[in-house]
Amino acid sequence: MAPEPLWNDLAAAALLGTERRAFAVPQAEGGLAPLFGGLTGTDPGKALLGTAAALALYRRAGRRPAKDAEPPPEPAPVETRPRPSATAAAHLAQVLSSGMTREVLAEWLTALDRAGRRVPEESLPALLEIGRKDRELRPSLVAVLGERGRWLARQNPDWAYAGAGEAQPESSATDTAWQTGTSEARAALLRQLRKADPARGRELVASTWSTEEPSDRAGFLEAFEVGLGPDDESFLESALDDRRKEVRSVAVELLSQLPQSRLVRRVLERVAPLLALSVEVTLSALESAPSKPIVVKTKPFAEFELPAACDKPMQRDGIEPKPQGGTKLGEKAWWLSQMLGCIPPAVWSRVWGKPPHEVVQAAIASKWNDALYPALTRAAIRARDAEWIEALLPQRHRAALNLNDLSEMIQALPAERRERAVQGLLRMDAQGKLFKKVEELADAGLMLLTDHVPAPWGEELAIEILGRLPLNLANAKYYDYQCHRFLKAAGAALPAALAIQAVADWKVAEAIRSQFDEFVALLQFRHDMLKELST
Amino acid sequence: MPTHWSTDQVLALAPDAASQKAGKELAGQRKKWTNLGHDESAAWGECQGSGAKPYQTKIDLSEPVFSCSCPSRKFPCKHGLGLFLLLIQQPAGFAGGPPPAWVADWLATRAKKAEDKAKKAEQKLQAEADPEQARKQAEQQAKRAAERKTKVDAGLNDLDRWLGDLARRGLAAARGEPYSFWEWPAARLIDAQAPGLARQVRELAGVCTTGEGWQDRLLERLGRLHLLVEGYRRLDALPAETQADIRSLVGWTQSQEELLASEGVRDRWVVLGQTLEEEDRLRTQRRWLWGEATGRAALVLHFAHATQPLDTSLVSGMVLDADLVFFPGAYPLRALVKTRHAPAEPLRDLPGFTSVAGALGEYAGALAKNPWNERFPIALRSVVPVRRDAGWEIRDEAGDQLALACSNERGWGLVALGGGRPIGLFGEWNGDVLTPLGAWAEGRFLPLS
Repeated sequence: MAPEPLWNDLAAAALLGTERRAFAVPQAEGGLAPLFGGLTGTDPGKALLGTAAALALYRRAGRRPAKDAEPPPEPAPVETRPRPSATAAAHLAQVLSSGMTREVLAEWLTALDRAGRRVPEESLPALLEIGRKDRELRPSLVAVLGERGRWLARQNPDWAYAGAGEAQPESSATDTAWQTGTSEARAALLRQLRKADPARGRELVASTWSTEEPSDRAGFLEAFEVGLGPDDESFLESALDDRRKEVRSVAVELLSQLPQSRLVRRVLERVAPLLALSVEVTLSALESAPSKPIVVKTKPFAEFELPAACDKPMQRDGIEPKPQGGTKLGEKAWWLSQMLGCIPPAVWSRVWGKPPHEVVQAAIASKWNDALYPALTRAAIRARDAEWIEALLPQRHRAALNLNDLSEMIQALPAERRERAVQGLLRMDAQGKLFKKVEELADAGLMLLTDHVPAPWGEELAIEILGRLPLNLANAKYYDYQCHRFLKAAGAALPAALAIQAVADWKVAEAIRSQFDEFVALLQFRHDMLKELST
Repeated sequence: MPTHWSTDQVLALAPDAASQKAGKELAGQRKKWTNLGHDESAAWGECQGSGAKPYQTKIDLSEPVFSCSCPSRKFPCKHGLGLFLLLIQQPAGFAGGPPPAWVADWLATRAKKAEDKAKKAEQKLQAEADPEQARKQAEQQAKRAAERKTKVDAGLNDLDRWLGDLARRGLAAARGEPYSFWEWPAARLIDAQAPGLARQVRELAGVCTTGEGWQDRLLERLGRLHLLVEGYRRLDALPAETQADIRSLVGWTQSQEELLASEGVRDRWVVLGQTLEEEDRLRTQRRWLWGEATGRAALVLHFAHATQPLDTSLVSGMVLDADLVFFPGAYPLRALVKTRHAPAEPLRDLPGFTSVAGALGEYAGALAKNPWNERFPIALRSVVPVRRDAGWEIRDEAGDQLALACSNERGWGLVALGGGRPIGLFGEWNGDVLTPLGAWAEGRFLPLS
């Protein structure tokens, strides 16, 4: 018998044990014969173990390598970019292994690209995995993958984004996942789908809408904020008649963000007469590019009448009859304020033919400012109208705005305009109110910077921050979570070369010392990392 | 300039992950360091800690060896690691020139210690040359050895009976036994002063739970143990080298002092890989070396109990011109570094086999000499890592394959290193799969542990 069947028989015999089935040393040929021969006649258990010893070694030592049935792989094309220095590669390894934020990685990748170099091979799998999960990082990663990286990515379907182009998820698989997933999984799937193909997402929701739990309906509708567009209007309009209030208010919120929606038109038709404006004129101001200029020769918000009642159709469009959220407005002013909050503010600049900041000035001068400023703010956020937000921000001290509103305003700006907006807020606070005391570090400026202004931060903003921070850090009396969070974000976002010089002679209170050390270490690391790639 | 060290190599010296992290952080805090300097053989610096006086940290770069005035019991401490990383990342921050007194003193003390040790060994040899003393010592030794032999003999008899029982009752029955079934004979072997055998018996319990094919693996190990027991019975009839193999597997230890007195094998020894295992607070460091001229592989073990430091003197990817002494055996692998002739240098080319068939041929030869080998070092100069349905493999020019034991990330990493072209690879072969420990691609060595 050949060694393989011999071994299988032996293993079967061993499983059972020699007690239950008598064991006889098998017959063998060649080199095994004399070995087995010496084992016959001994105790059966020992004979079995002896046979196992000899046969196992025989197989192990005689093992031949398997032949690869496939042809050798196609080699990667020749690289056109050189690898970075060993030190730069070590910096990357440190970024990857020590849990630094993605901003630092993005900065390294960008600097690498600027230096005309590519990712070192040994880090490719880790980076391609990061890119799989982090879409925003992909462009800067793909730029520095080099031939080797693209060659590697082509071999793994998970990394198709970097090699062979994006694969769309199978449509039947999506249907199954939608019908069988948990609520959370379905909501996540829907958001993902809305990013790539909003119509497909809407159809999926519509297909099961009538059978969904009320609590799920609100959640799914919220996902429409991703990829929201005019095509969603009809579906959202029908949701205004939903039995559940949560569902209805999500629909109102989303419809208010669609300037062409019937809801916005209805609200405008109600508001125009109150402001002594012709309905026809204001409606035509909703168009983004009106055919002829519409100029009303009155002062903005000079004439005012409050709505007489909050009827059923108004309530259907989301107007709350009872004042809420701690507002000091009277009932009727509250109704007007809510309605104004639904109308894209661009309408007003068009109707009165004035730039946003002039309309805002007029609103503030009005005795109804307490209703107007919050309403215009809400409207500007919903319309994501950067010009209007920038006109409203400098007046923020005129209204009792809370941090949430401020944060929403900044967030509604496109990423590249946020930095200037926050910088403006910091300047406004020339007395250093935002940054004066460490106890106040949870205050607006820091939170807004930490949460909404993407790295890297520009030099002007950096100078503003670096001028004020030492005071906070010198006076800290206890550990402060917000301050720590800010230091973490700032360590990754401030221009490293500038900041590292500035912090050199800062005196820092013991309470925040170790967080400050971390901050400086991160700045120093980034400084070295960028220097290494700039030479 | 001693920057041929890489960050990976330095981090591999850290006693644990926390020290790695702390070391990296310290290397980033350039402000904490003062009086940084280095020369050909050493680097030093003072690091501001929590106390008033900064810690004095120094590294002898020839091995490397660390020293620091901080109270940490970890070795190397975070300051040592931080200083080393700083030296690699920002060499320009280090002044040249001769070391300050506190560094020079330390280096001098080290040199003197080494000298004293050599002297002591010599005195000992002289003492042994004194016939009267030598006779007395030999008598005592013989008496102790005889006592131990009696114990070991009894322990092996019990093991033999236990193995026979197991074979009679069958592997399926044994698999259902509680842990105590395996622990009992292991404990018995410890009492019998056969710790090597005890370890092998203890491992059997784990084999039962390895899933598909467990019976083949268990049977093979039982066979190997049986062979060891039978070999021990016939010890006197076997060649001296095989006797040494068996004695060491049973658990006899070799006096390292005695071994270091014997003649070494000089070569340029390449450190190709290292592993670190921890069990019951005992950490075992295995470093594999490969002689450039002799083509011999060598295994240097280091054991550290609890807080004892790991050895930092052998770094993967470095080459040392040194004398190694091998523990006796039919296919000697385990060795000690006896004398170093020059500071370590970076690897220039990976030595090893040119084909898979060649490597497996050597493995068969090694098994013929020492059938108990469990980890066989294989260095291959030119193989292409590939992904196949069965898993990760390497293939040589002839299309011969070896299966790799590695994670997907490691597998992709190896494929990336090669880019479809051959690389050099070193690993431990257990007869079924190769665990990669070091790679050589485009003139660079990458440690893989």
